[in-house]
Amino acid sequence: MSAAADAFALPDIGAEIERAIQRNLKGLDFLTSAAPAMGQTARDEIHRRGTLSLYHYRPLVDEIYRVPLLIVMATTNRGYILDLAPGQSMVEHLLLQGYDVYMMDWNAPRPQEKQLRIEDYVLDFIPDSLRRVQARSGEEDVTLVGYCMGGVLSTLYAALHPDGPIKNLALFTTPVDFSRMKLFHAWSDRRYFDVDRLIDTIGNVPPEMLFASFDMLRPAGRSAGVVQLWDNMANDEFVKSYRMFDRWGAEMLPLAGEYFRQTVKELMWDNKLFKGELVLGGRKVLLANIKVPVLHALAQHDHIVPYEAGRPLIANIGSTDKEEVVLKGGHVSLAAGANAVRRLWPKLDDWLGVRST
Amino acid sequence: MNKFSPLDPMAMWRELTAQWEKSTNEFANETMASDPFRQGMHGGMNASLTGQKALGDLMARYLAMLNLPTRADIQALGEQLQSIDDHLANISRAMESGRGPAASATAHAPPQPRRTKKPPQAEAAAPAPAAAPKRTAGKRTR
Repeated sequence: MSAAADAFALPDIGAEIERAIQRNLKGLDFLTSAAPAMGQTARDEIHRRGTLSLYHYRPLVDEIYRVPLLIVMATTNRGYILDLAPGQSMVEHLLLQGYDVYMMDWNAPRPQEKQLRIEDYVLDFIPDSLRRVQARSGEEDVTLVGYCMGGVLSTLYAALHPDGPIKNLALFTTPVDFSRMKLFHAWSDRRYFDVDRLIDTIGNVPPEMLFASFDMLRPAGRSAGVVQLWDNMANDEFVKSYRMFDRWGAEMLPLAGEYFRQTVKELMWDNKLFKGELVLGGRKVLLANIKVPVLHALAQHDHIVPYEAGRPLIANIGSTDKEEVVLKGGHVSLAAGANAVRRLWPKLDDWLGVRST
Repeated sequence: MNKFSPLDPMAMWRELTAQWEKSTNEFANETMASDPFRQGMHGGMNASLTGQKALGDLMARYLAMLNLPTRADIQALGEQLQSIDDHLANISRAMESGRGPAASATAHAPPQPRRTKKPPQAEAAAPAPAAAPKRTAGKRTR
Protein backbone atom coordinates (compact mmCIF):
# COMPACT_ATOMS: atom_id res chain seq x y z
CA MET A 1 0.00 0.00 0.00
CA SER A 2 1.31 3.49 -0.83
CA ALA A 3 2.10 6.07 1.85
CA ALA A 4 -0.81 8.22 0.73
CA ALA A 5 -3.21 5.33 1.01
CA ASP A 6 -1.75 4.51 4.45
CA ALA A 7 -2.45 8.01 5.66
CA PHE A 8 -6.12 7.74 4.85
CA ALA A 9 -6.63 4.14 5.94
CA LEU A 10 -9.62 3.70 8.20
CA PRO A 11 -8.73 2.66 11.73
CA ASP A 12 -9.87 -0.73 12.92
CA ILE A 13 -12.93 0.40 14.91
CA GLY A 14 -13.45 -3.00 16.49
CA ALA A 15 -9.87 -3.14 17.73
CA GLU A 16 -10.15 0.39 19.15
CA ILE A 17 -13.33 -0.52 21.06
CA GLU A 18 -11.64 -3.63 22.38
CA ARG A 19 -8.67 -1.55 23.48
CA ALA A 20 -10.96 0.96 25.19
CA ILE A 21 -12.69 -1.81 27.16
CA GLN A 22 -9.37 -3.36 28.13
CA ARG A 23 -8.05 0.05 29.11
CA ASN A 24 -10.93 0.61 31.51
CA LEU A 25 -10.70 -2.85 33.02
CA LYS A 26 -6.95 -2.59 33.46
CA GLY A 27 -7.37 0.94 34.77
CA LEU A 28 -9.46 -0.39 37.63
CA ASP A 29 -6.82 -3.01 38.29
CA PHE A 30 -4.14 -0.29 38.25
CA LEU A 31 -5.96 1.73 40.89
CA THR A 32 -6.57 -1.20 43.21
CA SER A 33 -3.35 -3.21 42.96
CA ALA A 34 -0.05 -2.62 44.72
CA ALA A 35 3.04 -1.39 42.88
CA PRO A 36 5.34 -4.18 41.66
CA ALA A 37 8.11 -5.25 44.01
CA MET A 38 11.56 -3.91 43.19
CA GLY A 39 15.11 -4.59 44.32
CA GLN A 40 14.45 -8.32 44.58
CA THR A 41 17.93 -9.68 43.85
CA ALA A 42 19.26 -11.47 46.95
CA ARG A 43 21.83 -9.40 48.80
CA ASP A 44 23.43 -8.93 52.20
CA GLU A 45 23.95 -5.61 53.90
CA ILE A 46 27.56 -6.05 54.96
CA HIS A 47 27.98 -2.61 56.46
CA ARG A 48 25.82 0.30 57.50
CA ARG A 49 26.92 3.63 58.83
CA GLY A 50 24.39 6.43 58.90
CA THR A 51 23.50 7.37 55.35
CA LEU A 52 25.69 4.61 53.86
CA SER A 53 24.61 1.02 53.29
CA LEU A 54 27.05 -1.34 51.63
CA TYR A 55 25.43 -4.34 49.99
CA HIS A 56 26.91 -7.50 48.55
CA TYR A 57 24.72 -9.25 45.97
CA ARG A 58 24.82 -13.00 46.18
CA PRO A 59 26.50 -14.57 43.14
CA LEU A 60 24.20 -16.38 40.73
CA VAL A 61 26.85 -18.44 38.92
CA ASP A 62 29.63 -20.79 40.01
CA GLU A 63 32.46 -19.02 38.27
CA ILE A 64 32.97 -15.27 38.47
CA TYR A 65 35.49 -12.70 37.30
CA ARG A 66 38.38 -12.02 39.63
CA VAL A 67 37.78 -8.28 40.04
CA PRO A 68 34.70 -7.30 42.05
CA LEU A 69 32.51 -4.33 41.09
CA LEU A 70 31.55 -1.63 43.54
CA ILE A 71 28.62 0.47 42.33
CA VAL A 72 28.38 3.97 43.80
CA MET A 73 24.76 5.06 43.57
CA ALA A 74 23.67 8.65 43.05
CA THR A 75 23.13 10.39 46.38
CA THR A 76 19.67 11.64 45.48
CA ASN A 77 18.05 8.30 44.67
CA ARG A 78 17.62 4.73 45.80
CA GLY A 79 19.84 2.08 44.25
CA TYR A 80 17.01 -0.22 43.26
CA ILE A 81 16.79 1.59 39.91
CA LEU A 82 19.66 -0.71 38.96
CA ASP A 83 17.74 -3.72 40.27
CA LEU A 84 14.18 -3.05 39.10
CA ALA A 85 12.76 -6.52 38.50
CA PRO A 86 13.96 -9.91 37.29
CA GLY A 87 14.88 -9.50 33.63
CA GLN A 88 15.05 -5.72 34.03
CA SER A 89 17.81 -5.57 36.59
CA MET A 90 21.30 -4.42 35.74
CA VAL A 91 22.57 -6.01 38.93
CA GLU A 92 20.99 -9.35 38.04
CA HIS A 93 22.43 -9.09 34.53
CA LEU A 94 25.92 -8.45 35.87
CA LEU A 95 25.62 -11.34 38.33
CA LEU A 96 24.52 -13.69 35.55
CA GLN A 97 27.45 -12.56 33.42
CA GLY A 98 29.78 -13.55 36.25
CA TYR A 99 30.55 -10.37 38.15
CA ASP A 100 30.85 -10.06 41.90
CA VAL A 101 28.64 -7.04 42.62
CA TYR A 102 28.65 -4.68 45.60
CA MET A 103 26.68 -1.47 45.93
CA MET A 104 27.06 1.67 48.01
CA ASP A 105 23.44 2.68 48.46
CA TRP A 106 22.24 5.63 50.46
CA ASN A 107 19.71 6.03 53.26
CA ALA A 108 18.13 9.35 54.09
CA PRO A 109 20.80 11.30 55.97
CA ARG A 110 19.85 11.86 59.59
CA PRO A 111 19.47 15.38 60.95
CA GLN A 112 22.91 15.20 62.55
CA GLU A 113 24.43 14.12 59.25
CA LYS A 114 23.77 17.57 57.84
CA GLN A 115 27.48 18.18 58.47
CA LEU A 116 28.54 15.62 55.87
CA ARG A 117 30.65 17.15 53.13
CA ILE A 118 31.84 15.87 49.76
CA GLU A 119 35.07 14.91 51.56
CA ASP A 120 33.12 12.52 53.79
CA TYR A 121 31.82 10.67 50.76
CA VAL A 122 35.06 10.70 48.77
CA LEU A 123 37.66 10.30 51.50
CA ASP A 124 35.71 8.21 53.99
CA PHE A 125 32.66 6.33 52.66
CA ILE A 126 34.25 5.19 49.38
CA PRO A 127 37.63 4.08 50.77
CA ASP A 128 35.91 2.43 53.73
CA SER A 129 33.62 0.50 51.36
CA LEU A 130 36.54 -0.42 49.11
CA ARG A 131 38.42 -1.87 52.09
CA ARG A 132 35.39 -3.94 53.02
CA VAL A 133 34.97 -5.19 49.44
CA GLN A 134 38.66 -6.12 49.34
CA ALA A 135 38.39 -7.97 52.65
CA ARG A 136 35.25 -9.85 51.68
CA SER A 137 36.35 -10.76 48.17
CA GLY A 138 40.00 -11.42 48.99
CA GLU A 139 40.95 -9.31 45.98
CA GLU A 140 43.08 -6.21 45.96
CA ASP A 141 41.69 -4.73 42.74
CA VAL A 142 38.19 -3.33 42.55
CA THR A 143 36.25 -1.76 39.68
CA LEU A 144 34.26 1.35 40.59
CA VAL A 145 30.98 1.93 38.78
CA GLY A 146 29.37 5.33 39.38
CA TYR A 147 25.98 6.63 38.35
CA CYS A 148 25.29 10.39 38.07
CA MET A 149 26.51 12.04 41.30
CA GLY A 150 27.81 8.62 42.28
CA GLY A 151 29.93 8.94 39.17
CA VAL A 152 31.17 12.36 40.29
CA LEU A 153 32.15 10.95 43.70
CA SER A 154 33.88 7.98 42.03
CA THR A 155 35.73 10.34 39.69
CA LEU A 156 36.87 12.50 42.60
CA TYR A 157 38.08 9.41 44.46
CA ALA A 158 39.92 8.07 41.40
CA ALA A 159 41.61 11.43 40.82
CA LEU A 160 42.82 11.57 44.41
CA HIS A 161 43.98 7.94 44.52
CA PRO A 162 45.95 7.28 41.34
CA ASP A 163 47.86 4.47 43.05
CA GLY A 164 44.87 2.25 43.54
CA PRO A 165 43.09 0.10 44.41
CA ILE A 166 40.75 0.97 41.54
CA LYS A 167 41.38 -1.21 38.51
CA ASN A 168 38.71 0.23 36.22
CA LEU A 169 36.27 3.11 36.36
CA ALA A 170 32.89 2.85 34.64
CA LEU A 171 30.72 5.95 34.78
CA PHE A 172 27.19 6.67 33.67
CA THR A 173 25.94 10.22 33.00
CA THR A 174 28.62 11.90 35.08
CA PRO A 175 28.78 15.70 34.86
CA VAL A 176 32.14 17.47 34.94
CA ASP A 177 31.38 20.87 33.45
CA PHE A 178 28.55 22.03 35.68
CA SER A 179 28.13 25.29 33.77
CA ARG A 180 26.62 23.22 30.97
CA MET A 181 23.75 21.99 33.16
CA LYS A 182 21.82 24.99 31.97
CA LEU A 183 18.67 25.04 34.06
CA PHE A 184 20.27 23.90 37.30
CA HIS A 185 22.94 26.50 36.71
CA ALA A 186 20.32 29.18 36.13
CA TRP A 187 18.29 28.21 39.19
CA SER A 188 21.32 28.28 41.44
CA ASP A 189 22.24 31.79 40.26
CA ARG A 190 24.39 33.20 43.06
CA ARG A 191 22.79 36.62 42.74
CA TYR A 192 19.46 35.25 43.95
CA PHE A 193 20.00 31.81 45.49
CA ASP A 194 20.96 32.21 49.15
CA VAL A 195 22.20 28.67 49.72
CA ASP A 196 23.66 29.56 53.13
CA ARG A 197 20.32 30.76 54.37
CA LEU A 198 18.63 27.63 53.02
CA ILE A 199 21.02 25.17 54.66
CA ASP A 200 21.36 27.14 57.90
CA THR A 201 17.56 27.12 58.24
CA ILE A 202 16.55 23.63 57.16
CA GLY A 203 19.69 21.51 57.65
CA ASN A 204 19.31 18.67 55.18
CA VAL A 205 17.66 19.48 51.85
CA PRO A 206 14.22 17.83 51.81
CA PRO A 207 13.42 15.35 49.03
CA GLU A 208 10.30 17.29 48.04
CA MET A 209 12.46 20.24 47.05
CA LEU A 210 14.80 18.05 45.01
CA PHE A 211 11.87 16.25 43.41
CA ALA A 212 10.31 19.56 42.41
CA SER A 213 13.60 20.72 40.89
CA PHE A 214 13.97 17.58 38.77
CA ASP A 215 10.29 17.70 37.81
CA MET A 216 10.62 21.32 36.70
CA LEU A 217 13.22 20.34 34.13
CA ARG A 218 10.37 18.82 32.13
CA PRO A 219 7.21 20.37 33.50
CA ALA A 220 4.92 18.68 30.99
CA GLY A 221 6.58 15.30 31.34
CA ARG A 222 4.44 14.04 34.20
CA SER A 223 1.11 14.95 32.56
CA ALA A 224 2.20 13.52 29.22
CA GLY A 225 3.33 10.38 31.06
CA VAL A 226 -0.13 9.94 32.58
CA VAL A 227 -1.74 10.33 29.14
CA GLN A 228 0.67 7.74 27.76
CA LEU A 229 -0.15 5.46 30.67
CA TRP A 230 -3.87 5.75 29.98
CA ASP A 231 -3.29 5.04 26.30
CA ASN A 232 -1.20 1.95 27.12
CA MET A 233 -3.28 0.74 30.06
CA ALA A 234 -3.98 -2.57 28.30
CA ASN A 235 -0.26 -3.22 27.91
CA ASP A 236 0.79 -4.96 31.12
CA GLU A 237 4.51 -4.57 30.49
CA PHE A 238 4.15 -0.84 29.87
CA VAL A 239 2.08 -0.36 33.02
CA LYS A 240 4.50 -2.37 35.15
CA SER A 241 7.45 -0.40 33.82
CA TYR A 242 5.63 2.92 34.32
CA ARG A 243 4.81 2.08 37.92
CA MET A 244 8.34 1.05 38.72
CA PHE A 245 9.93 4.17 37.25
CA ASP A 246 7.25 6.42 38.72
CA ARG A 247 7.68 5.04 42.21
CA TRP A 248 11.46 5.21 42.02
CA GLY A 249 11.37 8.77 40.70
CA ALA A 250 9.09 9.90 43.50
CA GLU A 251 11.16 8.24 46.21
CA MET A 252 13.98 10.73 46.37
CA LEU A 253 16.37 11.08 49.27
CA PRO A 254 17.18 14.22 51.24
CA LEU A 255 20.67 15.57 50.72
CA ALA A 256 23.07 16.33 53.53
CA GLY A 257 23.09 20.11 54.01
CA GLU A 258 26.84 20.77 53.81
CA TYR A 259 27.20 18.41 50.86
CA PHE A 260 24.51 20.37 49.03
CA ARG A 261 26.04 23.72 49.98
CA GLN A 262 29.44 22.58 48.74
CA THR A 263 27.96 21.16 45.51
CA VAL A 264 26.23 24.46 44.78
CA LYS A 265 29.16 26.70 45.67
CA GLU A 266 32.14 24.74 44.44
CA LEU A 267 30.75 22.69 41.58
CA MET A 268 27.81 24.73 40.31
CA TRP A 269 28.94 28.31 40.99
CA ASP A 270 32.70 28.04 40.63
CA ASN A 271 32.82 24.93 38.37
CA LYS A 272 35.95 23.92 40.25
CA LEU A 273 36.07 20.30 39.11
CA PHE A 274 36.16 21.32 35.48
CA LYS A 275 38.68 24.10 36.13
CA GLY A 276 40.96 21.84 38.18
CA GLU A 277 40.56 24.03 41.26
CA LEU A 278 38.63 21.69 43.55
CA VAL A 279 40.47 20.87 46.76
CA LEU A 280 39.39 17.96 48.96
CA GLY A 281 41.22 17.01 52.14
CA GLY A 282 43.98 19.49 51.29
CA ARG A 283 44.63 17.91 47.88
CA LYS A 284 43.76 19.30 44.49
CA VAL A 285 41.48 17.13 42.38
CA LEU A 286 43.03 16.84 38.95
CA LEU A 287 41.27 14.73 36.35
CA ALA A 288 44.60 14.16 34.64
CA ASN A 289 45.62 12.03 37.63
CA ILE A 290 43.13 9.35 36.59
CA LYS A 291 45.16 6.73 34.77
CA VAL A 292 43.00 3.61 35.04
CA PRO A 293 40.81 2.38 32.16
CA VAL A 294 37.64 4.50 32.01
CA LEU A 295 34.31 3.99 30.28
CA HIS A 296 31.88 6.90 30.28
CA ALA A 297 28.35 6.23 29.05
CA LEU A 298 26.20 9.27 28.28
CA ALA A 299 22.62 9.50 27.10
CA GLN A 300 21.64 11.25 23.89
CA HIS A 301 18.48 12.78 25.38
CA ASP A 302 19.61 13.37 28.95
CA HIS A 303 17.73 16.40 30.33
CA ILE A 304 19.48 16.24 33.72
CA VAL A 305 23.11 15.80 32.68
CA PRO A 306 23.29 17.07 29.08
CA TYR A 307 25.99 15.61 26.88
CA GLU A 308 28.00 18.85 27.01
CA ALA A 309 28.24 18.59 30.81
CA GLY A 310 29.74 15.10 30.71
CA ARG A 311 31.81 15.33 27.55
CA PRO A 312 34.97 16.92 29.08
CA LEU A 313 35.57 13.93 31.33
CA ILE A 314 37.19 11.65 28.78
CA ALA A 315 39.08 14.54 27.21
CA ASN A 316 40.65 15.60 30.51
CA ILE A 317 41.60 12.36 32.24
CA GLY A 318 45.09 10.93 31.95
CA SER A 319 44.08 7.38 31.03
CA THR A 320 45.24 5.93 27.75
CA ASP A 321 42.55 3.24 27.81
CA LYS A 322 39.42 5.38 27.78
CA GLU A 323 36.16 5.35 25.92
CA GLU A 324 33.04 7.48 25.71
CA VAL A 325 29.81 6.05 24.41
CA VAL A 326 26.69 8.07 23.71
CA LEU A 327 23.65 5.84 23.70
CA LYS A 328 20.05 6.48 22.82
CA GLY A 329 17.85 7.20 25.80
CA GLY A 330 17.49 9.56 28.73
CA HIS A 331 19.17 9.97 32.09
CA VAL A 332 17.40 7.01 33.67
CA SER A 333 16.54 4.87 30.65
CA LEU A 334 20.25 4.75 29.86
CA ALA A 335 20.82 2.53 32.88
CA ALA A 336 17.45 0.88 33.52
CA GLY A 337 14.55 -0.52 31.56
CA ALA A 338 14.17 -2.04 28.11
CA ASN A 339 16.45 0.52 26.44
CA ALA A 340 19.31 -0.30 28.81
CA VAL A 341 18.90 -4.06 28.33
CA ARG A 342 19.64 -3.64 24.63
CA ARG A 343 22.23 -0.89 24.75
CA LEU A 344 24.17 -0.14 27.92
CA TRP A 345 24.27 -3.55 29.58
CA PRO A 346 25.88 -5.46 26.69
CA LYS A 347 28.35 -2.60 26.19
CA LEU A 348 29.23 -2.57 29.88
CA ASP A 349 29.68 -6.33 29.93
CA ASP A 350 31.94 -6.26 26.86
CA TRP A 351 34.03 -3.47 28.32
CA LEU A 352 34.28 -4.86 31.84
CA GLY A 353 34.78 -8.52 30.93
CA VAL A 354 38.22 -8.13 29.37
CA ARG A 355 39.31 -5.85 32.20
CA SER A 356 38.08 -7.94 35.12
CA THR A 357 40.46 -10.90 35.00
CA MET B 1 5.40 13.72 7.42
CA ASN B 2 2.89 12.41 9.93
CA LYS B 3 2.76 8.66 10.19
CA PHE B 4 -0.77 8.44 11.51
CA SER B 5 -4.05 8.29 9.66
CA PRO B 6 -6.11 11.50 10.01
CA LEU B 7 -9.11 9.23 10.43
CA ASP B 8 -7.66 7.53 13.49
CA PRO B 9 -8.54 9.70 16.53
CA MET B 10 -6.25 7.82 18.92
CA ALA B 11 -3.22 8.24 16.70
CA MET B 12 -4.02 11.93 16.35
CA TRP B 13 -4.39 12.22 20.11
CA ARG B 14 -0.98 10.61 20.64
CA GLU B 15 0.65 12.94 18.14
CA LEU B 16 -0.99 15.98 19.70
CA THR B 17 0.10 14.92 23.18
CA ALA B 18 3.70 14.47 22.03
CA GLN B 19 3.69 17.88 20.37
CA TRP B 20 2.10 19.54 23.40
CA GLU B 21 4.69 18.00 25.70
CA LYS B 22 7.58 19.13 23.51
CA SER B 23 6.38 22.67 23.04
CA THR B 24 5.36 23.12 26.69
CA ASN B 25 8.72 21.88 27.93
CA GLU B 26 10.59 24.15 25.53
CA PHE B 27 8.54 27.18 26.47
CA ALA B 28 8.77 26.45 30.21
CA ASN B 29 12.52 25.85 30.06
CA GLU B 30 13.02 29.15 28.31
CA THR B 31 10.85 30.96 30.83
CA MET B 32 12.44 29.30 33.84
CA ALA B 33 15.93 30.21 32.68
CA SER B 34 14.99 33.89 32.55
CA ASP B 35 16.23 36.40 35.08
CA PRO B 36 12.79 37.45 36.41
CA PHE B 37 11.87 33.82 37.04
CA ARG B 38 15.06 33.14 39.01
CA GLN B 39 14.56 36.28 41.03
CA GLY B 40 10.92 35.46 41.76
CA MET B 41 11.61 31.84 42.63
CA HIS B 42 14.35 32.65 45.11
CA GLY B 43 12.47 35.67 46.46
CA GLY B 44 9.61 33.34 47.35
CA MET B 45 11.96 30.79 48.86
CA ASN B 46 13.77 33.37 50.97
CA ALA B 47 10.47 34.72 52.31
CA SER B 48 9.39 31.19 53.18
CA LEU B 49 12.70 30.49 54.94
CA THR B 50 12.44 33.69 56.93
CA GLY B 51 8.93 32.76 58.06
CA GLN B 52 10.01 29.20 58.85
CA LYS B 53 12.93 30.36 60.96
CA ALA B 54 10.87 32.93 62.85
CA LEU B 55 8.16 30.37 63.57
CA GLY B 56 10.72 27.77 64.63
CA ASP B 57 12.41 30.18 67.05
CA LEU B 58 9.07 31.25 68.47
CA MET B 59 7.91 27.66 68.97
CA ALA B 60 11.21 26.72 70.60
CA ARG B 61 10.85 29.55 73.12
CA TYR B 62 7.23 28.66 73.77
CA LEU B 63 8.00 24.97 74.33
CA ALA B 64 10.94 25.81 76.59
CA MET B 65 8.64 28.04 78.63
CA LEU B 66 6.18 25.15 79.01
CA ASN B 67 9.05 22.83 79.92
CA LEU B 68 8.33 20.65 76.88
CA PRO B 69 10.95 19.16 74.54
CA THR B 70 11.63 21.09 71.36
CA ARG B 71 12.10 19.63 67.88
CA ALA B 72 15.86 19.74 68.41
CA ASP B 73 15.52 17.78 71.68
CA ILE B 74 13.42 15.10 69.97
CA GLN B 75 15.91 14.91 67.12
CA ALA B 76 18.77 14.47 69.57
CA LEU B 77 16.88 11.65 71.28
CA GLY B 78 16.18 10.06 67.92
CA GLU B 79 19.86 10.23 67.05
CA GLN B 80 20.79 8.49 70.29
CA LEU B 81 18.28 5.72 69.64
CA GLN B 82 19.56 5.36 66.10
CA SER B 83 23.09 5.14 67.39
CA ILE B 84 22.10 2.32 69.78
CA ASP B 85 20.31 0.60 66.93
CA ASP B 86 23.45 0.85 64.77
CA HIS B 87 25.59 -0.65 67.52
CA LEU B 88 23.16 -3.55 67.94
CA ALA B 89 23.18 -4.17 64.18
CA ASN B 90 26.99 -4.15 64.15
CA ILE B 91 27.13 -6.58 67.07
CA SER B 92 24.62 -8.81 65.35
CA ARG B 93 26.63 -8.78 62.10
CA ALA B 94 29.86 -9.47 63.98
CA MET B 95 28.25 -12.43 65.73
CA GLU B 96 26.93 -13.75 62.41
CA SER B 97 30.32 -13.57 60.76
CA GLY B 98 32.05 -15.03 63.85
CA ARG B 99 30.01 -18.21 63.84
CA GLY B 100 31.77 -21.49 63.08
CA PRO B 101 31.59 -23.36 59.78
CA ALA B 102 28.78 -25.57 61.03
CA ALA B 103 26.64 -22.58 61.83
CA SER B 104 27.57 -20.93 58.55
CA ALA B 105 26.49 -23.97 56.63
CA THR B 106 23.01 -23.68 58.01
CA ALA B 107 22.86 -20.00 57.20
CA HIS B 108 21.83 -18.75 53.76
CA ALA B 109 25.38 -17.98 52.59
CA PRO B 110 25.98 -19.75 49.27
CA PRO B 111 29.27 -21.52 48.47
CA GLN B 112 31.98 -19.18 47.25
CA PRO B 113 32.23 -19.15 43.45
CA ARG B 114 35.58 -19.56 41.70
CA ARG B 115 37.14 -16.27 40.59
CA THR B 116 38.48 -17.72 37.38
CA LYS B 117 36.04 -16.51 34.78
CA LYS B 118 37.47 -15.25 31.50
CA PRO B 119 35.64 -13.05 29.03
CA PRO B 120 33.95 -15.01 26.22
CA GLN B 121 36.41 -13.62 23.64
CA ALA B 122 39.41 -14.92 25.62
CA GLU B 123 37.77 -18.30 26.15
CA ALA B 124 37.09 -18.66 22.46
CA ALA B 125 40.68 -17.73 21.58
CA ALA B 126 42.36 -19.93 24.21
CA PRO B 127 43.56 -23.48 23.35
CA ALA B 128 41.32 -26.27 24.60
CA PRO B 129 43.26 -27.34 27.75
CA ALA B 130 43.49 -23.78 29.00
CA ALA B 131 39.84 -23.03 28.38
CA ALA B 132 38.73 -24.07 31.85
CA PRO B 133 41.59 -23.46 34.26
CA LYS B 134 41.20 -24.94 37.74
CA ARG B 135 42.28 -22.39 40.28
CA THR B 136 41.42 -21.92 43.88
CA ALA B 137 39.09 -19.10 44.80
CA GLY B 138 40.72 -15.77 45.42
CA LYS B 139 43.82 -16.40 43.32
CA ARG B 140 44.67 -14.01 40.57
CA THR B 141 44.46 -15.22 37.05
CA ARG B 142 46.56 -12.50 35.48
